[in-house]
Amino acid sequence: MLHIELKQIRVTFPQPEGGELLAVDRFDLQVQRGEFVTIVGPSGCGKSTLLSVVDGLVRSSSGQVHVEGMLVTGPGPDRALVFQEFALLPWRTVEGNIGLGLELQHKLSSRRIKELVLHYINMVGLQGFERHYPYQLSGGMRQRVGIARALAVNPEILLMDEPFAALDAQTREIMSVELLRIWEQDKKTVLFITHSIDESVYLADRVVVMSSRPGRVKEIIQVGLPRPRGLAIKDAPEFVRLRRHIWDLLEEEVRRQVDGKEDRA
Amino acid sequence: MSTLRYRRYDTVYLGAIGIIGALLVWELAARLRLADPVLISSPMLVAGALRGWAVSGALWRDLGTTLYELVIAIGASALVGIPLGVIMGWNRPAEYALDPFIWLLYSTPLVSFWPLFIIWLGIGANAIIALAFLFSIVQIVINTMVGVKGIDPVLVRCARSFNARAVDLFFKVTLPGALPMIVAGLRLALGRALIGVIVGELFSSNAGLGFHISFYGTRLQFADVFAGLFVIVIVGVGMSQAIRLLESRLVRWKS
Amino acid sequence: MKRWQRAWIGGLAVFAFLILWEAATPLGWVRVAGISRPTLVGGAFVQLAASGEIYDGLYISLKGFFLGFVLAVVIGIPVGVVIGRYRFLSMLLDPLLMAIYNMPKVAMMPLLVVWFGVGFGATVAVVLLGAVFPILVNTAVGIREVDPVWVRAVRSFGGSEWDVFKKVLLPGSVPPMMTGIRLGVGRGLLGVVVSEMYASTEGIGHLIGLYGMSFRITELIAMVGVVSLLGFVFADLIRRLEVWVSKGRAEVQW
Ligand SMILES: Nc1ncnc2c1ncn2[C@@H]1O[C@H](COP(=O)(O)OP(=O)(O)OP(=O)(O)O)[C@@H](O)[C@H]1O
Ligand SMILES: [Mg+2]
Repeated sequence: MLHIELKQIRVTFPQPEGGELLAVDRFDLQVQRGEFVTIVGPSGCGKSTLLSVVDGLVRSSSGQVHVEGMLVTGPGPDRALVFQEFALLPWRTVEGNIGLGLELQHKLSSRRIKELVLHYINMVGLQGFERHYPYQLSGGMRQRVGIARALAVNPEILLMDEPFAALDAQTREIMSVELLRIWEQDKKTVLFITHSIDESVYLADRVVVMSSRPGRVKEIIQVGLPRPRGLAIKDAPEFVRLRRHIWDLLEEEVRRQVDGKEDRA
Repeated sequence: MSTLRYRRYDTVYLGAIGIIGALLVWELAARLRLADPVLISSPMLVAGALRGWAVSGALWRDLGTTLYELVIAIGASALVGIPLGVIMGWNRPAEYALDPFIWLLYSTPLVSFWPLFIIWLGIGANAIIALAFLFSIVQIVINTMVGVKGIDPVLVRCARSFNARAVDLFFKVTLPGALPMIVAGLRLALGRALIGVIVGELFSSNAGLGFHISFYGTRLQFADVFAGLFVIVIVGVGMSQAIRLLESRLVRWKS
Repeated sequence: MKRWQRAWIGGLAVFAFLILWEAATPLGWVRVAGISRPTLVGGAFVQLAASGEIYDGLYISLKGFFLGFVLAVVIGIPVGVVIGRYRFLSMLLDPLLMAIYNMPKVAMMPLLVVWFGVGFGATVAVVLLGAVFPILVNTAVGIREVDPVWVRAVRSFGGSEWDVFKKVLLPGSVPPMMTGIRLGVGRGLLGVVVSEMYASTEGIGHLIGLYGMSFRITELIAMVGVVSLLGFVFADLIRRLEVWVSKGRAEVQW
């Protein structure tokens, strides 16, 4: 069943010196309900912008986003964003941060919020850290809070913008395993941006490879690997083949980007 | 040498030695007539003056007057200055529009407004409060604005992503985020308000610490003048320490 | 583009303020004629300038300010450096400095006029007292917060204490030093005006007091304008100096 549909998305930003920057152009994508889609692409190709458009934080200059057939005009409770920079309020404890989204929605009593927060603290394995402030947490723990905060509002769509980028390689692997475990429970629709090709293949049903700016769909790759997946799958021949393929696609794009810069210089 | 390690209590007793040493030098200078004792008074005489002042009850009246003017001025500054600073931090055109006035007030020696206040408000507490208000509000506006502008934009985006209402955005993101800067501004503003109050009392009043100093100054009773300065120091240091305490309680979330 | 926006919105706001001020009295928004009008104030300003009445005052005030301020810099920076460098000294003196730093130095006016004489002497003294502590304390803090790694680096290459001062501590503590100087300028100007208003027969502060006492509001506001302008110009100069200094640093460092 079709869940998210991006039609001919085009985003431009006004430049400080005047003129406009074309960040995303003619971007088409259809995401099925419960599907896990990862997006990779060269730096600055408009991935974050695209995700902001789906969340409703940024307006596209032309083209539309439909969620369940409804036109997206702003942020909504059916979508939740997980930020690369965690974006935790430093003056709130783990509890306070996880409850933030629920509080801002003004739908539940504070008692109900407390119960839900507790549930999600358990889900992301932060028992015992309820009263800790962000500065007292490790990077991995902070991002668990960010993920729990998004999950707590029970969105149908999870938008994740390089959520593991600030973590070390090991924590990153553990977190992606955790994420899949959580996702297996209720199969939300996920749009997940990453720079790690490994991660993109490991997590995804489909990988979208974007071209360098202006960002377009370069290729969409179906990942047929069986689920649930363990880390061992990264040694499977199919995994290695997909990784190689995506690597080649990206290398081409990055090269084009660099050559383009040299042309201008 | 700086390579030596000092322990925590060293700061306390070395600091005490510093103060006691300074008082001793002062006392000796007066006793040995290294300087005219009439002009420099001496710690003993000052202590005596202080006791007389307290015993007569005038100290409490003067202290009360000064603190009253100070509290009203700083309260009014916060009440007006914080919202103003928030507006300037949020809204570019508002910032640009108010900027010239704020910077003018920040760089002007504000005492020059004193005769105007006397004419508009008459001699008395009102003019003093107005002067102290002017001294302190600028600092509060500037700090609040800087605090609001300094909030990590990703936090605002996060709140907007959760469909936050404007009221929530203000009370759950803007205000707490700017709070450390606001409180720091309050501390600086208190120092400035104290200048305003003392100057006002010095120029014309019939009560307050500034009045005490000016009254005995013209009579060349310098022990009483020093007693006044001593109490002012206590007020200044006490208030700034109190705000520091508040600061450390409010921003426990900072590493 | 942003720079330009800032200028015209700011200018527009000032213009609107002047219009409101001009119209307030004729429209009866204020009952007494206690706020004058910008056109009158402008006229008074021109007259004061033409008659030369303010120049003598301005000269006296600026002389007192500069003398006191230069003394403050000459005393404040070396003493600040020494206190910042030697932990023992700073621990000994911190509470004392803290107490004096927190006291409004203008409160000492009644003492200063007797110690140094009404007028010029007291003015220089209060400027010095007002300016020296911000400069001294900020310099000391700057010196103390210079990264000790740099000090060790210079030492490990066989640098002397003098090298450490010249090559690391002094350049490293320039930004806080400039902060101290900026604060010092403000306190110094305040001191000039307070001293001259409190007891003096010369200077702009005296003129302000004089016009105030004779209820000549238009001239009074014109004088307040002169003082404000002075403060604004000094603050701007300091800001430029700060930018210039930090630019020079950037070029040296990288
Ligand atoms: N608010 C904005 N205003 C102006 N330009 C913007 C804005 N946001 C993004 N851009 C520009 O749009 C382009 C795409 O940015 P975006 O952040 O979407 O890239 P990205 O693919 O997420 O890059 P990265 O992988 O480095 O995170 C960049 O050139 C960026 O400079
Ligand atoms: Mg990005």
